[in-house]
Amino acid sequence: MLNIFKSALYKMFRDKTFHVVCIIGLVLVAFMTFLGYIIDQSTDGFKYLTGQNMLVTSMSPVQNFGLALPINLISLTIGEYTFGTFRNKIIAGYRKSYVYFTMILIGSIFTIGLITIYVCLSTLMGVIFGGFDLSIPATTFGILSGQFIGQYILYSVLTYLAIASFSIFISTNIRNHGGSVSIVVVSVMILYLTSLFVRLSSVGHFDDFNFYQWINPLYCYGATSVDTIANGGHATFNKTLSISSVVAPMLWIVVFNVLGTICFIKRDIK
Amino acid sequence: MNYAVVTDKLTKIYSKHRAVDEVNMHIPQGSIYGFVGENGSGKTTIIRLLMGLASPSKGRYSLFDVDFKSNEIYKIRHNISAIVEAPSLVPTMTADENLKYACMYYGVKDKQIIKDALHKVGLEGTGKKKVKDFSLGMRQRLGIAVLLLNKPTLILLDEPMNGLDPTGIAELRDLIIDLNKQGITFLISSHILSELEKIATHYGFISHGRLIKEISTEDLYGECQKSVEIVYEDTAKVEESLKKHKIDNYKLYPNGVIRVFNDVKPLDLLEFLHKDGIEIEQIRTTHTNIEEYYLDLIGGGQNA
Repeated sequence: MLNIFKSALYKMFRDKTFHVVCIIGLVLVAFMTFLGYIIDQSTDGFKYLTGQNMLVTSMSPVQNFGLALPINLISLTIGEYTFGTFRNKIIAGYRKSYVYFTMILIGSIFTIGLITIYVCLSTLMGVIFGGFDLSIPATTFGILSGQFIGQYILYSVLTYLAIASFSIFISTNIRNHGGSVSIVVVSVMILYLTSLFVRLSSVGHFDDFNFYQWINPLYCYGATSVDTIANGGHATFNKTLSISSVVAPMLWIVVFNVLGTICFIKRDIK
Repeated sequence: MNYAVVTDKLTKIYSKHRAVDEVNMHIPQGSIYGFVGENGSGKTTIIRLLMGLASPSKGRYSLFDVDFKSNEIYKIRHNISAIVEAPSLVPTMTADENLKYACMYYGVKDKQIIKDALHKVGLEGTGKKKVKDFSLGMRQRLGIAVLLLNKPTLILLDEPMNGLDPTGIAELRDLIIDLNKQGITFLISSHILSELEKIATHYGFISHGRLIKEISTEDLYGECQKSVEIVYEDTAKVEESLKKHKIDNYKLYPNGVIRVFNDVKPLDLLEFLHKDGIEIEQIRTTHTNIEEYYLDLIGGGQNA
């Protein structure tokens, strides 16, 4: 099991997809910093380029690099079929469940590792140009607290893992790059937009849509954006939202990984 | 006899199509098993079933006496190598990196084995070259180098001669013979029957998913009919003469070639043809080759 994991890690670092996504990340850091600098230069009383704002915006799974990650994870997974490396591992005597589990681990490391580097670099650029500065409102989320940032990081990590599990599930079943990318990206966007809509329409009637936050891993992003406006510019996670922001992505991680493993075992490998 | 592979009514059904139909296969340990069949006959599907890439719809198989449903099968497979359809290589990685990658999942720590494997397949000096820049033949050789890393006891090769030039084919043939002498059992599916004829110790003939016949090379040569081949322009006249002498087991080929399979002596044949006024241009005794044997077996007319 350790051998197959080490080999998959070795291949990932040498994979073109990994190199491409690293370059995309660096270009995006530079671009977002430049964009923030232009915004700050052209507006009075508003600051975009701060550490805390760069942290929360760069970590979002529904924006730039956050969307690029599942697309590249799909490329990595489809490559396993194209190059026949899934096949090699099974021929070498590994159980299909081990092979799939390794793919989940590699997908998680790929996603969390790269988003961590991207967020750290973005935050660093924000700190260099504008300090961390919690007193300045962040875009979308308004005034942030240390507790909010901590919770936000935790929920984001879980959401990224949920999207990674979903992406691997879709790509190992569809086995087609274009089709898988379309399904994953459209799903992420629909989940985010519906969470905004549901949270907006549920202000005052929250209980009517209560179930949705427990099954949508991106609900907390839409909900906090809406809540920030409702709370007069202060971002918070209420108790129910805090729990559902952990439960929903965990549900996705468990469901798609278990389902993915079963499908992978049952299916013939080309 | 000890067998590396035994299948018992092995069947694979895709939708309603029986790709493999109740195949009972026996590959003796230490043999080179030539697997012969037309395109779509089920050769690759059987290799995929044996390698665990696909699950049988019915029937069972065992590898080195271990049943495919046993947990032990994974340990057995660890010492089996296979190329299914084409070598599985990462084109963006170099040859060295591909071998190192394979060493990792095989759990092989000896780095010298990479150099040895490249040397064995004649690819020394190409370790730093990316696989995407390799020719088809070089990829095939590198694929075989990967197979050697885990010191296999059984190697399954699906059309290994594809893409190789005549020199490459000869080198691969020598390598297979050399490895077989070291005790490695081979299953080789190939369309190039003349090449199989040079190395195979046993044959399995498959058509439309069914294994028609299994035979050792020794028995195959015994079964390959002796014939007397004659060349004469007017084949109709020869036919008439043969019928007159109650010889009905013969075949006509283009360019006036006639093969007579009856246990008839060439001199007797010459004599009665001469009496009928037929002056033969050429006459020789010959054997049916493997290709003809296979075509006869499946009913003729199909490409092997």
